[in-house]
Amino acid sequence: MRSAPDPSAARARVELLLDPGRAFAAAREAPRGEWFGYVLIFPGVLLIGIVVLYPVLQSVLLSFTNANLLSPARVFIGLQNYRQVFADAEFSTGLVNSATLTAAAVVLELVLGMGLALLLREKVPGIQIFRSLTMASWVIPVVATVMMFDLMVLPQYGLFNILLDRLGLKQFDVFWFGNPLTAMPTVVMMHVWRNTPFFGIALLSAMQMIPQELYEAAEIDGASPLQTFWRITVPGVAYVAMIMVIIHVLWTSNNFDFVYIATGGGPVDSTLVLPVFVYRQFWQNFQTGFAASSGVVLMLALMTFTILYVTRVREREA
Amino acid sequence: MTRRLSVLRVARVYTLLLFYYGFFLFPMVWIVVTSFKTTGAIFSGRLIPRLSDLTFTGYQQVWQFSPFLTFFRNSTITALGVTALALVISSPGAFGLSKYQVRGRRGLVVAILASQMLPPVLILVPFYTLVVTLGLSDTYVGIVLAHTVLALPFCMWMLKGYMDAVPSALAEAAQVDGCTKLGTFLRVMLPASAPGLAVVAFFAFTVSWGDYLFVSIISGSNRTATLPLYLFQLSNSLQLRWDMIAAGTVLTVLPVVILFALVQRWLAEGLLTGAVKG
Repeated sequence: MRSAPDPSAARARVELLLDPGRAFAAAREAPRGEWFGYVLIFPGVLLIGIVVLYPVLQSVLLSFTNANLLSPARVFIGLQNYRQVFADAEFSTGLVNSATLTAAAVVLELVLGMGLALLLREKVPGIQIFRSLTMASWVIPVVATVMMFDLMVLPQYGLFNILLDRLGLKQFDVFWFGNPLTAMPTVVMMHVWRNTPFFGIALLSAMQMIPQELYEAAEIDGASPLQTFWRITVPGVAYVAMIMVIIHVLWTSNNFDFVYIATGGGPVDSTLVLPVFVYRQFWQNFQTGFAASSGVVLMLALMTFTILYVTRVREREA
Repeated sequence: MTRRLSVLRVARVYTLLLFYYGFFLFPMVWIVVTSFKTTGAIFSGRLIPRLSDLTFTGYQQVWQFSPFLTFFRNSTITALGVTALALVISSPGAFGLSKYQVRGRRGLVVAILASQMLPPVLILVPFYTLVVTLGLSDTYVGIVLAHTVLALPFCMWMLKGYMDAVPSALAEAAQVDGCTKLGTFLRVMLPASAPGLAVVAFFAFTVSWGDYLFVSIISGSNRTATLPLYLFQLSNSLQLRWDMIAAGTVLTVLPVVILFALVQRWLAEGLLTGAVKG
């Protein structure tokens, strides 16, 4: 048997995320545990420590040096890389593209996911089949998704263009990944295709935890469906929606392979996002220090976003 | 809703479902159909293939005349290794975080969540240096380590959610009955969170099976490279063979789809257990 859901515990955890001082105090307050507990968590902590924490710290250090993959000499140069990052036109392009991609994809995923959840809540015959198929696009490899879309957007022979031709819109027949105007929307579409199901399923679970009595009371009071939706359903799923938005903003901004495999950042940098920019600096220009500092900027931007977003949600609830 | 559904409402729901699932499923259907077409048929612009358009050439080319099998073997070894390692590390870890008063427990859970903020591209260079220093470049061990760490934070978080739901009284009762600490973990906690373990195993497997970034850095050659690199190479060759790309993609997706069918009824709950259940 599962215990009763306790959203407040999860909420407290997210709040701790924003408040290192309190998290630290909470950690110290915890009563001394048995030694076996430490044995249990040791391997995980060790592995994450070595393979994540060490490289991150190392990257932060690198970002203050003129490190280059081709020469071993390494000199501390202070904030020079950071100055260079903010003066770099390509970095600005990457920043704008990353923000555009993330905002467009996450907003669409949230809205479409909400619609999907409302549909999946309907008790029509066979709905279980739809529910069980939903996550399929989320589990398959990103590379495979890119190949599927690549195949659909081919000039002349791709599905999109075949359909356009049939509709008599032959003049719009382009290679969707190869055209600066359509490349970014196509990348957004791939993200939406992959992540909307997760939003739908998550919001559906949240809706199913809203007490049925609320809806019954609303019906007795003669509330319209629209009122019921805004006054009961939306507040009921707000917390899960917030978690999903945060996770997906992080995942989408940090995502590398969708863009790199589909377009490599082109055409003419129209899909150049920050992870691809960082990767290029590392492996094509070998500018390790410079690449590290641009990666650190991305990380700081994401941290700032998360803190601001959660604080605002908390203020509005208070 | 206890209200009876009107025919109109049902029709509306089905129509909208058709739009959604048309969008979700059509790309998959299209590539499966393409994988059975001749090259000529792919470039004919026909929507419905004729009987003479159908062939197994794509699969035959991929299977016999390309290094697909090597990549498939590498993917299988790596993904199974990652799954095993992720289970062995995350299940005791989640148990410790869930049922023991470990010092710094809440800070650790926060750190696990916060690790999702780190851009993977940021850790590439130091990670690469580490792998080279340890002599692990172009080895399965290097890739398995990288993928395990990618999957581990989410695995631990999910499993902790599952184990939080197992009543502490159950574990205590087992100890009273003379079960050792290890015995309690193995015979009580693990069976009680079996669906969670299935979801975590599946998640770790798909993370490894689908990763391109870390494999592209660690694998210097095709000796250890996995299927995403194979597809990337196919799609970047001078002469694009769409029948081969389609067939290769279908064969890459197939194992994941089979596993997905097995765990799908626990998947949604498992992924959300940390977020929704608290």
